[in-house]
Amino acid sequence: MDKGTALTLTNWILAFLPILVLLSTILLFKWGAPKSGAVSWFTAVIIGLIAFGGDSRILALANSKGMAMSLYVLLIIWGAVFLYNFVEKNGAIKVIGDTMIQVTEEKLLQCLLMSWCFASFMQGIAGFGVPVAVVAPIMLVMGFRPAVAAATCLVGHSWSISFGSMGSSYYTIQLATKIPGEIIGPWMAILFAVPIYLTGISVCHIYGGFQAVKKGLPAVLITGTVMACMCWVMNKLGAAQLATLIPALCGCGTMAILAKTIYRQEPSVTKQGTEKPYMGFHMAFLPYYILIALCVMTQIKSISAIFAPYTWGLNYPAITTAAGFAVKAEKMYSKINVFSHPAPLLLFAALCAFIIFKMTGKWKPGAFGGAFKATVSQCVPTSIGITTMVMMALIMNDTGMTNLLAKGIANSTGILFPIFSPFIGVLGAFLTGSNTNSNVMFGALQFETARVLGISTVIMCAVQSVGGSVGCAIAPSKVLIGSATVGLEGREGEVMNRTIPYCVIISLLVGINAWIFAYLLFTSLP
Amino acid sequence: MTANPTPNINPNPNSTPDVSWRKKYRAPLMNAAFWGFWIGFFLAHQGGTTNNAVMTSVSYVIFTLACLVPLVTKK
Repeated sequence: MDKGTALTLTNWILAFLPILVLLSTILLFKWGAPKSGAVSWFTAVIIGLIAFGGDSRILALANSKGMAMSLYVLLIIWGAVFLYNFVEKNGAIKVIGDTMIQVTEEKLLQCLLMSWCFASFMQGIAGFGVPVAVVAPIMLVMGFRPAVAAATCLVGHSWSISFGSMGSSYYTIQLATKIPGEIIGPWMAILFAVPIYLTGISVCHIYGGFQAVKKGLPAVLITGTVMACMCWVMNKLGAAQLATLIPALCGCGTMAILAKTIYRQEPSVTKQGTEKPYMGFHMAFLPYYILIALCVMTQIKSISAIFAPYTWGLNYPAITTAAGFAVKAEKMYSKINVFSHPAPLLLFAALCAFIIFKMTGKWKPGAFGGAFKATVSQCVPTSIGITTMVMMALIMNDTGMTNLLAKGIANSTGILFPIFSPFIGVLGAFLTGSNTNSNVMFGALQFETARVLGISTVIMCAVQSVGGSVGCAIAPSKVLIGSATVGLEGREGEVMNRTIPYCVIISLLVGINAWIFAYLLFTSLP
Repeated sequence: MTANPTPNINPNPNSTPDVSWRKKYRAPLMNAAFWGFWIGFFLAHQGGTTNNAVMTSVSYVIFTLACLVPLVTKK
């Protein structure tokens, strides 16, 4: 790896141009994701060919890798949207929403419970965009505005991604940096304390401005402390793969207790039970119970070992650009396992729910066809948006543009590098929509830069993962999921406009925290 | 799927609504673009791994056409 195009201001600006085009068309011109993605893809292809020594073969392979990665993400989106539509067409989403409202009548607490705690719980078991795809539509039914539902979910669960999906990003940072998990894990948990509190405060602010922050602060402080402590404890116990799941569960429990104590409200209107609900909460939530159970099952090694051979992935050769940037060969790139990938689990949950609904007489005729049609019409434009953006990101990656961007940030910041370090993680997550991929892309770079600067490599590599986690709140592929599931297709800019300021502030504070750790408090840490 | 979701109010209900070709063919063209990407995926991978210039070039043509669809049909 490395070498590549020389680091000059012109080259750095050229490398940044595809991202600039993407951001400006979405945020300033209010274009939808498919159109913005297409233009930024064209930009990346032209710059890759002209300025970064790419040829048609290198770019074709990068496009193919982008499609392979898109396939992984799109299968989840299609599966999650189908499951949602399937449940919604049977009237179950309304029942779930109505029940969640009954936990507490306080809307702010409902918002925190769903987007900050429950979405993180979903991240703990599934991840890969499922929390946003599942929770945002439920919040919509609970009476939240679409943009608020999508933005709060995106920001609210962004603390939970590194240890979510049973710790996939956590394992990746270890692989990329060769730092053992028992060393980096607890430091990641300590650095995550800031995002845990700040994501809660951000959710309050998105919901109702500073008034809501003031009102929700006790809940955020109490629940945040519980979640932060549990995250650290799980790491210390050597169970980092549960360091999202358990804290989020504890957070949900704490929220429920707060709803009955500090935030207790007398019911304003007593509803007369003249109209019997179509189905009970547990029946309505059944598809998601099945999904949770399946996700837990995937973590049982003896079961996953049975399905391990049923994996699909493509191999790619090693390539070197004319500028000398080398990309190593890939085996089973973006592999999809029939058991561990969320899409088959989502479809299997839908199938089980269909059988049970049918047996109990809750099945509505035509629900399947309706759900399928709705899924296709929602997902096709979203899929084109994601595909073009991921292809753009992979062209940037394989031609050395991304590497040059990160090097530029590292070189120009010097002693202030820890403050900017989370933004490198954010950049990786923004480009690929994944904390795991961000760690793969920049883990080694953060390690090397920290070594050159003579500061703690453990802290800087932990900050990389924290930045990658927080950056998922603004990743176009994640924003697209949130927008698609709440009916805001083509208006992704609205959601992104809401999430970007919170992501920037949280990343900056994480960076300041890292600077204090690296230069003041833990200077002797390796 | 518009950036500005203004309701389409037709002042004369008896007149035939004037639907632009972009709107009329948006859904089928987007579907075609969607499938085009997957054909391009296959060709790009095969062309790239076997160093086949024809397949690589065809994949670019397909990706370009597929990317033009949202640019032309979307506001």
